[in-house]
Order: sequence, then structure tokens, then C-alpha cells
Amino acid sequence: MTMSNRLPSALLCIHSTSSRFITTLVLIFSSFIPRPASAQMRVIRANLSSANGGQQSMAGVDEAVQNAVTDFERHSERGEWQKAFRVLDNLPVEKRVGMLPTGDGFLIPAETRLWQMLVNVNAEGRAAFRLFHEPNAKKLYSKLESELAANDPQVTTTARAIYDQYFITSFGDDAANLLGDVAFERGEFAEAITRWKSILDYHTDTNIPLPRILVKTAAAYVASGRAREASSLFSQLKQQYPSELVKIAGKEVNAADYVSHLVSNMSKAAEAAVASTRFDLPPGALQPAWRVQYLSSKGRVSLQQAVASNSYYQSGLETVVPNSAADSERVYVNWMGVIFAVEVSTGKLAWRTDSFDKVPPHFAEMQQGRVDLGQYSIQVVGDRVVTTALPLDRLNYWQPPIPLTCWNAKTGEKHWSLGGEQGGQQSYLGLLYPFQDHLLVISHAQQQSSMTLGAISLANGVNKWSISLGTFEGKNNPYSGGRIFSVPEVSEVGNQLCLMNQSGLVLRISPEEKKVLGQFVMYEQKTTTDGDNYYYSDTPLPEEKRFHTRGRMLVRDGVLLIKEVGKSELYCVDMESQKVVWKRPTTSSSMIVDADDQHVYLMNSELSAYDRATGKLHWSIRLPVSGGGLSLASSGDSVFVATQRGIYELHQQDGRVARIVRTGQTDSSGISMRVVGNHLVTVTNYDVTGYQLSKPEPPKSETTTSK
Amino acid sequence: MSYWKHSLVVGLALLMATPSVFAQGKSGISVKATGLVKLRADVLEIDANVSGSSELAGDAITKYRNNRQRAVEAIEALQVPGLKVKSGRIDITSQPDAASQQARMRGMPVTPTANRPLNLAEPLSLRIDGIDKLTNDQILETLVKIVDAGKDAGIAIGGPDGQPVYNQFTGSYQSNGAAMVRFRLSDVEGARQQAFDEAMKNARRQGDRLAKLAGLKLGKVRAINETTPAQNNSPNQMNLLIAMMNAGAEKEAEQFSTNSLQEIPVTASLDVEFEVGE
Repeated sequence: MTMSNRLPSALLCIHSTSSRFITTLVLIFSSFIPRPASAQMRVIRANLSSANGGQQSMAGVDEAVQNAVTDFERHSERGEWQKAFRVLDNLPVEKRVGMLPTGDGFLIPAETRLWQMLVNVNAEGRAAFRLFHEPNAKKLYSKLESELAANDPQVTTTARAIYDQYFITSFGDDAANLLGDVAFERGEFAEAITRWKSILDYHTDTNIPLPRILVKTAAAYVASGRAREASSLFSQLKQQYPSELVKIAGKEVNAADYVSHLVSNMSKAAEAAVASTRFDLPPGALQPAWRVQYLSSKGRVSLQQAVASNSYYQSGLETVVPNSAADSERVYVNWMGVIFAVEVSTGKLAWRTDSFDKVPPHFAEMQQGRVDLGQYSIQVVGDRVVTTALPLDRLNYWQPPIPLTCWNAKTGEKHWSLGGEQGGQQSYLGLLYPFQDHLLVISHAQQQSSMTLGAISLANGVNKWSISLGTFEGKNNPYSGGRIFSVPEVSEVGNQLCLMNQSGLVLRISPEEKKVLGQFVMYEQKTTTDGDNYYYSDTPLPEEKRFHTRGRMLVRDGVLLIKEVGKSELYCVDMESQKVVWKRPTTSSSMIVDADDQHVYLMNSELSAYDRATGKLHWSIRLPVSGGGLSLASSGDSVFVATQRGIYELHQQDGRVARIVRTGQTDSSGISMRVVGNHLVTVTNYDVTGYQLSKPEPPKSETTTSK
Repeated sequence: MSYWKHSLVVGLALLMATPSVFAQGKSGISVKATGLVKLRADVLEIDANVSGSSELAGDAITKYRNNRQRAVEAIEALQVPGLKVKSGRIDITSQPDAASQQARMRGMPVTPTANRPLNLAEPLSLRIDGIDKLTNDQILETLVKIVDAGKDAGIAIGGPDGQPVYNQFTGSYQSNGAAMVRFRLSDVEGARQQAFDEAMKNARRQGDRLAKLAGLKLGKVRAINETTPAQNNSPNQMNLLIAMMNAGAEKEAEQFSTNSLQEIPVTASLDVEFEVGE
């Protein structure tokens, strides 16, 4: 009897779960249906440093476990396998707690680290382990079989025990396969990939047909949107198992052909999604279809005077572009706490929360550093608009708490508000991340640095759950005192959340278990948090302030692209496999603005395209960008950048200028852009303008360059 | 008699003393004459700068190449007749970071850092010949096209960069107000020859006048010397100074350039001594 036959076929073969599998695939492909763009263009000052970066929030390194690891490594190096494995035997599962460092910046659960140590022993060690532990594994496996027969829910617990403790015995592959199947059925594709890939990587002597594992892993990759890895497995199947058959939905099909079909469908879905967002700029100069000026000419003079009279402070107020968000009908802008909505089709000012004229009298206070310009965030989720903003009448207070407010997207009516002076002095950072039916936010008590990640119900503002993130030390506000906390970033990788705290740390969080699973440390926290504050007459505004760059984290193909503001390193990190795929220096003032199949784009006064797979700089061009609102839009083979001299259409491949479409916004000192429906909407430091877009033409075989 | 006459010539010459005319010597007339011609510039030059800077040398080169290629393509795409892009040197420097710069300004020790960005910069000269055949409007139109294309292409027009530099004497940052364009003459020798011809004519005229006053006839030129013009009429004093400090044919041309769209004055000064006859 082969190993694979020991388990009921219901759990080993895809065909047994075909209906769920097909349902899942439907769900996968439906996930490519374009959703309304909800990304916000926040302008964030991110220059904080943290003393301990939130490490307090999770279990620390357990000394006993750390010692066990050291002992195991020492005995393994000497080939004293009996002693080595005894170390592990003396560390029961319940004591394998806390985190352990992996040596390249990752802190992972002790359980995972111990498993990695076990599977990485050499052939002699494996043989020794089987000699000592095969009987125990067999006993557990028998239990597993009986639980399977009885349909006992304990079956996954037993399988996990075999996987964790006895993976390199002859039963570990079956346990991994079972756990992979269960995870896939639950829609936990990242987990399924991990389990199946462990067989491919560490159990090469498995009796489970490898083409079957490869097909299942490829399907999980497709399901989690990781086309590159799925294509890689297809190549492997094509080379090594060109004629192998697997049973899918009761039919024998060629394994390679099947994966090819999956990848092809995924590509088509992705192409369809891209095609749906494709746009073309009309020939000639762009004529505004509508324009809403929120800062009057008189107000602009007032701004210039406030900046000139308080030039010492260098807050970057003169180049700030307010954050905006959009749904399919409206653009929403958070201008220094005055929230307003503009109908994209007509340019009508739908609503505003206050008069625009109330802001200019406060310019001097803003310039004097009384407010962190990065904290004015806005997000639209369904029929709700959520903002963080300091009320204008609190600008003159020391370290005032910033409230979180929810508005009706259609009417501007206030639904609820949390924090602030009226809300228990709780202060909200600008992170507003829609997650499932909730909004993820980070808050702290006034004048405190302990941060909490909370999931807020959009309906009523009730906190559904929260996780402590420990202390963010922040940075001293050199002008008005108090602390400045940069706005963290959140992304979803599989079923987990990754949170970059802008202090050198990325936390891997399980929203299901409400706990931190691991972390990646980019750099050690500074012990001093305050920078120099020397001032020279007419000192140029530092680039980071001038461009209002912020740290960003994007997820592409399951890996994180990370760059903090004020740091020059750009990271590509696989949190699943705890690997730094690549790391490279860039310009500290540059900011990640987008990433496509080939490139990750960074921007300051230059737009630079780095190879997403290797991190190599492909091209870089200088652009006439002089202020905030750094943003990029893609369509077809072009990328578009809004500048004061017009909108640059660049060839995606080499960055060459295809054309420059004039917009007449040469007097702006910062500009952001986004495409909403059939309009291109720009937000400058004084107005919001809509331009009608033309219908996209069919792809051209050749692109001509014109001026 | 002869002595009296000669004395009269000298006396009259002194009475007429002007910066350019005087007489001396015992048996001739000596005059100092200046020739001035105003010529229309036939060359337009625009200084530009392309650069690439990065912590990684490979990135700096990629950025520099991309920026240069784009700049040259953008300028050439204008198809302006007579427009040439002239490149010179490539400056390779290592930029200190802002903190180091500030520390140095304050007289504090500068901690060397391993990740100082490498900067590659190339000054470009965008030159258009034959602008003397264009009207002022045509010249301005061409100029605007080039400057616009340059700005679109991310070229720093008018100098190395537009970044203000710290002035340790005033304790403040000052903007570099370098001129964007330069108008000049291509045929400097020809222009100077015209000025000399004019100077010689003036010398002869003055000599004649002096001789007539003395009742003498102006004879042959006995001696001639080129002198420095007593007053330089060029509006570009800085260029003259640079030219004087950097002798050479190319640098000499700097004297005959202007930052304004106007005729360029070329002067020549001569000391000429004539024989006199009864």
C-alpha cells in the first residue's frame, strides 16, 4: 500500500472536492472583476522612529526555546543526532511559544522556526530522526486514520501534530497534503501553498504523485493571484511531467495542460480588468470639463504670506496637496479638515462640511508646525466617507487628539465620530483601511505612544476587535512640541494582514486569531528620535517635505514592496516564506507610487522604474515635479504622471516620453491625479479639476512619439 | 621755424587733448584712435545641464544616460535649423548628504559616510548658428521652443542646477542667478578687423586734422601699436574678465557676447604715429 493510499481518497484527490474547487475557482476569477478605485492619495509626513517598534505587542523570545535552538544546532553540527532530537523531545508543543529570530530580519513563531530546523537537517540526521521517531509518527498516524473514518473534527489537530513534530518521517507528507486540502477548501490559499510546497521542498521521497501536488499548488497560487509562481510550476510540469495525468472533477486531464488553462484564464481575467480601466488622453491640450476652486486667489496670497512670515518652520504647507478619495460618482477631498465632495460627471460641489474661507486664517498656525499635514486622511467605503482631521479650532492646542469621523458619501451628513476632545481624548492616525465589513484604524491615547489596531464597524463606529501594537515612539515636533506619528500602511497577504509601522517593522497579523504571527525588522530603532533643527536663511525645503513623500507598502504576487520615507532602502519581501527577495538603495525622498507586472515605480522629482523581480533600475527620468500629490496612473503600455507642465505619457518599457498633454496648471505647486469613470481628475494645492477622457482606441502596433 | 612749427603741433595737440587724441614726438604726429563697430550676433548659445545621481554608481549612470538621451532627443525633435547640441566634459562627484553639508557649514566635523550619492553631470551647450538672418521675433520664438522643450525634458537650463547654495559670508542661501542664454559673434577675428579698420580711419582723420592745424601735411605711418581700449563698451564685463584670465581663442570669444538680444559692440584701439611734411 502506498503512502498516499493510506488516507481516504476524499481528502487526497482534487476530484473529490471538485464542486468546491470549481466554486473556489469561480470565486478566484470573480475577484478579478474591477472594483471602484478606492485608493486614497494621502500626503503623509513619515519620519518617525520608534524605540521598540511595537515589539511589546507580541510574545517575545522565550529563553528556554532559544536555548533549545542553540543546543539543537550545536549537537547537529557535531552529528550527535540522538542528543539533538532529545532537545526537541524535551520541548513539548505547548512550550514552543514566543518568537525566534531567523537571522535575516524575521522574527517568526518558535513553532515554525523549530520546524524549519528539523526539515533542514542533512540526510544522516533525517535517517536518525526516522529511526527514533517513526514509531511515534505511526502511532499518531493511526489515530489520524481512525479520526478520519469517524469524521472527527480533531483530525486536523492530529495532522498538524504530525506535520509539526514528525514531518520528515514517512507520514509527514500525508499530513501536509491533508492540511493543504483542508486549507484550500476553507479558502486559505496561502496556508494551502505552504503545506503543499513543504512536500515539494522537503519531502522529495514522497509517494504522493508530484504532478498532483504541483497542480494543487498551482491552483492555490492562481487562487491567491500569484501568476508568476503558477507559471513557474507550469514550466516545471511541462519539463518534468509533460504527459502525466491527474483526475480533475472525475476526468483524467493532462496536468501541464490543466495548469496552463488555469494560468491562461487568470491572464485573461487580468487583461480584462486592465482593459476595463484603460483610458486615452484626447489629442492636443486638455480642456477642463469642470473646476472647483477651494482655495481662492486671496487665500493663496494669504498662504504665501503665512509661509513667508514663518519660513523658519518649513512645514511644506506651500506644496501640500490635500488627500482625496473617489468612488464611481464623486471625488472626496480632505482639505485641512474641511471635507467636500464633487460630482465627477458635472463638477458640482455636492457637499462640504464647512466653508472654505475658514481655513486661510489658520495658515500661520499650520505653517508653524501645529499640525502634522500627513494626518488629514480620507477614505470612501461604500456609502461612507471616513476622515481623520484636526478641527480648525484645536490647532492652537498642544498635541490635540485627532478624531475619526464618518460621513454620508451622498449628503455629507455626519454619521458618527470617535476620539478627539469629545471622544475620550483618543487620537487616530491617518490609517483608514477597509477590511471585510470593517475599517482598520490605529489609535492611541492623547500624549501616549501605545498604539492599538482596531476594527471599527462602518455602520455605527463600534470597535469590533483590537490588537495592541505596542509603543510607537514617534518623533518630536521640533516647532510646537508633542509627538508626530507617521501613518502606518496595511496590506493583505492571503488571509493575513501586514502592517508597516514606519519605524522599520512589518508585523504579520492574523485577523482571525487577533494576534501577531511574526515580524520583519528592516532596521534597528533609533535611540534618539529628534533630528537637527538648524535653520539658515532661505534654506531650500527638504525634498521629503517638498514632495510630501510617505512610506508605502504594496502587495504584488503575494510579496511586499516596502519603502519607508526618510529611508533609502527599497525592499521586496516574501512574508510567507520569510525571505527578503531583494533589497536595494534608492533615494530617501522617493515614494512608491505604483507597481505593475514588470516594475515598481518610485517618484520624487524623478520617476524611476525598478524591475519587480530583481530590483534592478530599468529606467529613470527627471520630471518637472515641484510639490506634493505624487501619483501615477497606468493604461495599456503607458504610464501617466501629472506635473505642473502637463500630463506626461511615458512608455512603460523604457520611460520615454510619448507625449505631454498640457493642462494649464503651471501655477500649481503640487498635483495629484486619478481616473474616475470617464474623467481624469486632478487635485492641486488650490483646486479640483475634471477632464473628459476619450474612449480608448484599439491597441496600436506601433507607438509614435510626438511632442 | 621748423622748431616753432613742431612746437605748435605739439601745443595744439595738447589743447585738443581727449582720451583718444594726442600728439607727441619731435617730427611727426601721434594719435590714439578707437574704432567701434556694432554687429548683430549670429550665434545663440544656451547652457544646460544633465545629470544623474544615486547611491549606486550603476543607478547614477542609468539615470544620467536616460536623462541625457531624453534631453538630446527632445531638443533634436524640435528640428530647429542650425541647432547643435555640444557636449563638453562629464563631472563625476560624490555629493555629501544634507547632514554633512550642514555640519561643515557649522564648522563641525563631518563624519564620512559610505553611501554618499555619486553624481554624474554633463554641461551641454545648445548652439544655433545664423541667427543674424532671423528677426528678433523669430529668435525669441525659437528660444522659447528650446527652453520649453528643455524644461519638459528635465534639463537644468541656464546653469549647473537651480538649487540655492549656502553663502558662508552672508550666512544664507542664495539662488544661482545664472543667465539662460548668450548671444555671440562667430567670426571674432573678422569683427575685430572691422573695428581696427575703423580705428585706423579715425586715426588718419585725427592726424589730418592736427596736421592742418599745424599747416603740415600728414605723411606715412611711421609706427602703430594696438592698445587696450580705454573704455570697454561690451555689456558683459564678467565675460571680459573671464576672457582676460583665460587667454585663448575660444575664451577671447567670450568678450564678444551678450546676454541680451542686442547688437554687440566691438572696439579696437590704436596708437598711430604719422610722418609730417611741409
